[in-house]
Amino acid sequence: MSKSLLEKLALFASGLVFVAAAWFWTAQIGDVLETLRLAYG
Amino acid sequence: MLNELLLNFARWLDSFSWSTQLHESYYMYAWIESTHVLTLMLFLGMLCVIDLRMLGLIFPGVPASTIARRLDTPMMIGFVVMVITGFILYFAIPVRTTQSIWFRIKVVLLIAAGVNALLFRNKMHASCDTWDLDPKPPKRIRTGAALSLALWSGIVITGRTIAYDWYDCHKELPYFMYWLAGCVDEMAAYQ
Amino acid sequence: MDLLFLFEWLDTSLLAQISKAYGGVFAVVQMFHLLAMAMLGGMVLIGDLRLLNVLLTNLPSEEVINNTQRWFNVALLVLVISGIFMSSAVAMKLYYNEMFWAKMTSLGFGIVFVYLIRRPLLKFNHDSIKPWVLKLLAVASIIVWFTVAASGRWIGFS
Repeated sequence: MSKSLLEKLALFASGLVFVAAAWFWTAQIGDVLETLRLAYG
Repeated sequence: MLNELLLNFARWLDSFSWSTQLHESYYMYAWIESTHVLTLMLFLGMLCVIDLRMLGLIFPGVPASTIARRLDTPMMIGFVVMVITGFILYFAIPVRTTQSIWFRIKVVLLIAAGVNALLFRNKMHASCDTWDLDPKPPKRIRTGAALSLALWSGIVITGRTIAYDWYDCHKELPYFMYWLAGCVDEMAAYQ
Repeated sequence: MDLLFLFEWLDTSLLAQISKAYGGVFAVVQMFHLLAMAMLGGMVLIGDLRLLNVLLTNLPSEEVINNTQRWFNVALLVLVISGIFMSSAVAMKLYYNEMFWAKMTSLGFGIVFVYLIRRPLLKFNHDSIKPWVLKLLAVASIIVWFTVAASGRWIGFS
C-alpha cells in the first residue's frame, strides 16, 4: 500500500477511535452517575 | 509479638469511617484498584524495557545508561502512583490485608526489589563506561536485571493472589501458617 | 453474527474442563496475562510517546518503533493465549457480559489498527510522514490499548 493511502487510512482509523472512545467513555460516565443517583438519591 | 503489633495497627486503621466507606463504596475502591493494576503498564512497562536492555534483548544499538536514564522519570511517576494507590487499598481493608500471607510475601519482595535496584544502580554507575555501548552487558549486570524481573513478577503475582482466600485466617490451617499470616486470635484458640 | 455457538462449544471444551477444574491453574495463567499486559503497555507507551516527541527524543523514532514492535508482538501473543484459556473457564458468563464485548471490540480494532495500518505506515521514513498523522496515530493507539485494559479490568467488577 502506498504511503499516502496509509496516511489517509491512519487518519480515518484515528478519527474512528476518537469518536468511538468518546461515545464509549461518555456512556460509562453516564452509567456511573445513574447508579450513584439510584444509590444515594 | 510483631503480629499483635501489626494487627493492632490494622484494627486501629479499620476503626476510621473512611476505611469502611472506601471498602463499601460503589466505585471508589474499584477505581483505585483499577488504577493500581493499570499503572503497571506504565511502571512495570518502563522497568521491563530497562531490564530487557540490561539483558541485551532490546535496543542493542543504544547505550544502556541512556535507556535507564531516559525511562527513569516515567517509571518513577508510575511507581509513585502505585505506592499511593497501594496505600489506599491497604487502608481500605487493613485487617484482612495485614493477615494475608500473600501481602506479607509481597512486602518482603518489594523490599528485596528495592535493595536489588539500589545495588544494581550503584553497580551500573561504577562500571558502565566499560560496557555501556555493548549490545549485551556483562554477566553480573544481566543477573541483576533478571533478578529484578523475577522479583517484580513475584510482586505482581502475590499482589493478585491477595484476593484469593485459600490461606485466610478463617480457614483451617496448620499453626505455623497462622503464625506466618499473623492470625493472632486463631493462634490463641488453636487446639 | 451470533457467536453463542462458539461460547457454548468453548464452555464444554477440554480447555474449559482444565481451566474450570483447577483454580490454581487459572490463577497462574492470569498472572501471565497481567505481566504480558504490563509489557504490552510499556511497548505501546514508549513507541507512542516517542511519536509524540515526549520520550527518548534523542533516538530516531524508527529505532524506537522497531525495537518495541517485537516485544509488543510477544506480549500480545501471551495475552491472547492466556485470554482464551481464562475465557474457557467462564465462557457463558462472558458471552452475556457487556464489558467483555467492549474489550473484544477494542482489542479487535487494536489488532487491525496496529498490523494493517500503523505498522505498514511506520515502515516508511518517519520524516516523510505528515507529523500530525503520526501524532494522531500515537494518541489513538494509547486510547485503544487503555480501553482494552480498562474494560478488561472492569469485566471483573461487572
